[in-house]
Amino acid sequence: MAKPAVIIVGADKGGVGKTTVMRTLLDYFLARKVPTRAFDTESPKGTLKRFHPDVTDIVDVTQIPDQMQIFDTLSENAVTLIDVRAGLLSPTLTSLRNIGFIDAAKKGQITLSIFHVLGPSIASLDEIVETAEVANDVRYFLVKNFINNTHFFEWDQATYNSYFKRIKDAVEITIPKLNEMACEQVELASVPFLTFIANKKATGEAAAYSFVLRGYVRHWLGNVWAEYDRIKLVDIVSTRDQPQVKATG
Amino acid sequence: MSRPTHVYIVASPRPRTGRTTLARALTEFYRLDGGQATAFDLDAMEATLEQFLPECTVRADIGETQSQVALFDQLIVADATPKVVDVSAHAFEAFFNVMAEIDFAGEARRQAIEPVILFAASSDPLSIRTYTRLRARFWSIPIAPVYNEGIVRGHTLRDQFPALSSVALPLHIPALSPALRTIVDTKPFSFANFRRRPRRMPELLEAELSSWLKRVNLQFRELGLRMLLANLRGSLGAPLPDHPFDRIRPPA
Repeated sequence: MAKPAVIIVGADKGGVGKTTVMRTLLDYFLARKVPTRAFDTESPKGTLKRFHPDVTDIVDVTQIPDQMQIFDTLSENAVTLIDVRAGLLSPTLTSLRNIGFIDAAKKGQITLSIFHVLGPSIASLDEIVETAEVANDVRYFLVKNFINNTHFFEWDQATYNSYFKRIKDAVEITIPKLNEMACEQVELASVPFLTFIANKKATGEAAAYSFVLRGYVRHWLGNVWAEYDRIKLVDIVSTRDQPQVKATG
Repeated sequence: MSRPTHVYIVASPRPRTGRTTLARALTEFYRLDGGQATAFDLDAMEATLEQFLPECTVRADIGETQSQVALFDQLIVADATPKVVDVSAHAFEAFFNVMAEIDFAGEARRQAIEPVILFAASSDPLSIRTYTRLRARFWSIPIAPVYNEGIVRGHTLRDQFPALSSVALPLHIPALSPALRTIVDTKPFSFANFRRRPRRMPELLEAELSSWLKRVNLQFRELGLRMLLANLRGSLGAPLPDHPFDRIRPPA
């Protein structure tokens, strides 16, 4: 029997594109017919819910009732994605450790993956240190998100490598840059990337989005999904009951 | 069955290959007798096409996203109006990069748009390499080499510019004499106006231009008919085995 799978997307810094990464994941699983449910922790107002209202609930991950809503209802029939609010990644991981969730993942009872979205500053590298303790017990992905800025990650490579190596079996994912105008238009349309590409409104009616911008989004999303295919994400969330095997990059 | 929209992309990675003259002649061929055609001029420096055909030419740019939207969103409209895009050497790489990235060929198929690339051939290695690369990159779009006799000057380039499509056979553009070249390249000369009401020019030049236009327009007509025929055969379920449109069209 498949195990419940949870993917946490977070960062300790705001504005690094966590929700964008979440949106690409939801589209990815939808396209591959993997049932998903998502939690947006930007309580009370959730950005993710604006794009994926049908599968998203807004929760306050610091509140016990909301933690129960997420973790007591895990199902092997749907992947649970959690968009952790800026600044709450480390506290959330600590809470998960406290409720025995990390241990359950370590024992192979659930599949837990963390997508740690990195920003351009050196502070992002310090976040790696903070999460390293927990990260060694789960599948850990360091996401370099170039979507908003081509000049991200101007760190010294040796410095970055020294941080990166602190997490055993960490895998790097690169989200390429999306054309600014295309990015802006999807934001304005407030629809999933796939809906924008299909030239549809949120209601399902035909829209009149630019063919060029849809083309840019299609190309970009294809590259993002190629990264998820590379790490065999569908296989990861479909893992059957067996001792956990670390992802290799 | 609605009539497909033909998009002619006239391109060369080298300047001065007769590309704009070809684009002008093709646009005016479609505008003869009250017909419709829209031209797009990607030559930011000289805008020659726009200067000769201001009433039906849209000046286009490929540098900014907004300009790309303005250009390609018009090219993808299935309105049965032929469109001619004059891709200058300067805009060549950027134009085809954008075209590949937004999957223009794929969307064209879905929208009943039939693009064809008219590649102004010349004997230099860059043109030969670029032609080969373009064919591999846009395998579903017919690419017709254009031999402008004033440029190829007797060189046989058939091996360097193979035409593998039964639709996009090579076009042969006769050379113009220097005197006629001067007339044709002086604004506001118009091929269509010449056809309707020959200018006052020496009889010999008038005969030369009439002959040139007849040969060129005949090839344009044949190219358009081949495209229509291929489309018709495809919709009737009788694909031409070597026709790129048929290779990608789902079975009827």
